[in-house]
Amino acid sequence: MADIDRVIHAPARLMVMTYLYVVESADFIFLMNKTDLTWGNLSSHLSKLEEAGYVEIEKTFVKKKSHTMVKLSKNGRDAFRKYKDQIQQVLQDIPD
Amino acid sequence: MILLSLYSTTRNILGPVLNAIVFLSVVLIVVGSLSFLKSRLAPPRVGIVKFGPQTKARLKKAVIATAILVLAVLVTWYLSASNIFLQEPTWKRLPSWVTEFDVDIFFALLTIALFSSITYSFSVQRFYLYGLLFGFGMLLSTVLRVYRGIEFQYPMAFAGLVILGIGILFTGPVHEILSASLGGGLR
Repeated sequence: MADIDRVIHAPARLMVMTYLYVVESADFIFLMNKTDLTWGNLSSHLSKLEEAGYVEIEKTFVKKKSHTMVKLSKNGRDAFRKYKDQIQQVLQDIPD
Repeated sequence: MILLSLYSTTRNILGPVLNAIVFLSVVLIVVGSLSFLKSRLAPPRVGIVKFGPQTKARLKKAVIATAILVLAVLVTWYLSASNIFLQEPTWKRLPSWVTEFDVDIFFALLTIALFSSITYSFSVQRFYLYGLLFGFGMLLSTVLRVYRGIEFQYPMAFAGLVILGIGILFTGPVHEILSASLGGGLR
């Protein structure tokens, strides 16, 4: 349990990582709608994930409006897979 | 669906030409009104998502399955139009229930398979229900025609009403009000 990845383990970041894990990429609005996080909160969590090298953020302008696409990096996908296996193992080891 | 199910009845009353004009006018008014409303109202932003490799693979399988089904429908249409089913000795060897309903059973199964394919690719369970309603609706229409001589497509109207009801209950403002009053219980 001690070596659980705490960057992923936080509930909000876990939600973001889970949604990004099952898709190729998603935009900021999609993640906001799905996670029910506020603009600032989501932005802060995404920054932490970006700092850890787990997500790649691409900002573009579509019709003069900023558009932010987010995708899991190779590191992020590997880290999430490892986290998933660890959590599954921990839960399995808990006696009834 | 509801309009289509009423088509045969209104044709008897109005005649084929006037009925086609009325029918097309209603369709144009509905489509025009929806387009006008769409241009006037700002839809809520739901965001953009690009599918992952698993979903892409599912969609690919569904597209292939749909293409096979469409091909099967075309072949059946061609065979039934060219009366190959009615030729000897194929026709005599088939059981009576098959000869009575000929391709209707096939179309019903194809419809169910098509909607099942949509359900599989988009994981939206209510499309199973739509497929069953359309499929059995077609079959029931034939049963009514064969055994009762009724041409009116009641089952299809029923299917259309059920789908419309589901649409009203599960999307839009009615859904918001019901969800709020049930504490988010209607999903």
